[in-house]
Amino acid sequence: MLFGKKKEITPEIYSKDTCLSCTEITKRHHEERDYVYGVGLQCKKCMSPNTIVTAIYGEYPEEDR
Amino acid sequence: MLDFSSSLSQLNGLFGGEGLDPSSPWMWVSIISLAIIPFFMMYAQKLQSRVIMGEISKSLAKLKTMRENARKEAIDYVKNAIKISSSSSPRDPAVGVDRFLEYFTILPVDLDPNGLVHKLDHIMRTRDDRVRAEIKKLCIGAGDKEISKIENILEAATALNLIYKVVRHYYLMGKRTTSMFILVQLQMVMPLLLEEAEALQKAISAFKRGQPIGDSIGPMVVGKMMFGKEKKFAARETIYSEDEYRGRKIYLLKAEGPAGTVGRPGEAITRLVGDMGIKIDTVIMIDAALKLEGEKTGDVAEGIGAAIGGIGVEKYQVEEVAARFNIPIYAVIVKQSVQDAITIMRKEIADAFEKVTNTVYSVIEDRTSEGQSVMVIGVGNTIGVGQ
Repeated sequence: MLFGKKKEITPEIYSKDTCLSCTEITKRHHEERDYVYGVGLQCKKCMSPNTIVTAIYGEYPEEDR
Repeated sequence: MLDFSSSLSQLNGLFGGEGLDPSSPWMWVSIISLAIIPFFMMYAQKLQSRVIMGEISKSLAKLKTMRENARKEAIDYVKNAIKISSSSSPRDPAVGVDRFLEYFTILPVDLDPNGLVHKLDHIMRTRDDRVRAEIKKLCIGAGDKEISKIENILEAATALNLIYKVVRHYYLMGKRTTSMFILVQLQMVMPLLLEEAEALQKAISAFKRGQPIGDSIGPMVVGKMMFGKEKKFAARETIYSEDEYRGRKIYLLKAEGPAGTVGRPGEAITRLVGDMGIKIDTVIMIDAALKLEGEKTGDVAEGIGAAIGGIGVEKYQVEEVAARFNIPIYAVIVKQSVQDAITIMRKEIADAFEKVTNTVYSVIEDRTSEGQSVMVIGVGNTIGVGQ
């Protein structure tokens, strides 16, 4: 790849929800309305709607780290 | 060709040849080799200049595309995401965006450095107010969050525009004067400039979607500490909460999220400690810091001093209050590159969250005693981070 074009690497964006009732952490794809410490999606373990988004981050492919 | 053979014989003699054979191909190889030397003596620099100019012009074309894309994205964002009242704002947003891209700030004179920071503060505040007013005028009816997003997008687009214009200036100057030195210098810094431009372009998409960037790690840590507590006004776009930890009173300070702002931590600490008379025994600042090549993104380190970037006004204000009231300042930093700091927060930085939080609590335990007060400041752009 001496003269090849540099490949653009785009990250996969995830949101991490934490349930305030059972402390379950769920990783899911990011949604436009998400923001850190905003309301998250319903907890899949205890079905509680009481969740918050605790992180939003981009995950790059292994070779780019 | 009359005396050519004799001249060649002489040359051949010089190089220790035994005799001249005009039919030998080696003779012509020798002639061409010798002729090339004066040619390169005369034209090597010009050839090199051409090669360099070709490389720079390719990079310049890339920068131009990036600038155009950034401009287009800014215009589209203003057009689509913001409800422009057609009756009160009949102008095309492109005109406003273009005017914004050319906006400049003249820094105060530093011949007499006395009071320079206050002048700088005044100029920067005027600039912020003007920019905010222009954006509000551009998108009537937009909320504060949208306005802060547009402000960030336009700042990134302005930076890209400036990089392009400066590179074009030196390229054209080098071309006009055929100065190798200008061109070589430009060629040397070009990879760094392209890297920065690419990061700015990626930053625009993070700002548009309101996603946290690498610089948001400080507000993210303090935001968690503030979660569920009463928030009070500290300064413009800056809030604070009170908490208790192992017998210590904790004041938590950050920019008001999830809007894209860095707030005014310097002004906030001046108001809280200086004007309101809140007694603080220790200040802990959490910020993103530039890593050196070879260091890992997301590494956490602690040290002494005001961990805050920018033009220097906020840093001065924090240091001024700390020195006046004899308050020690501790810093906890998360290492990252310039690109990481302005693009979507990388997993490695988000993973540093726990470590930063634990470090802050261990500094509180080690450096303060029960009954004392600590101020924890989350420094950075709080885009996509609430509290």
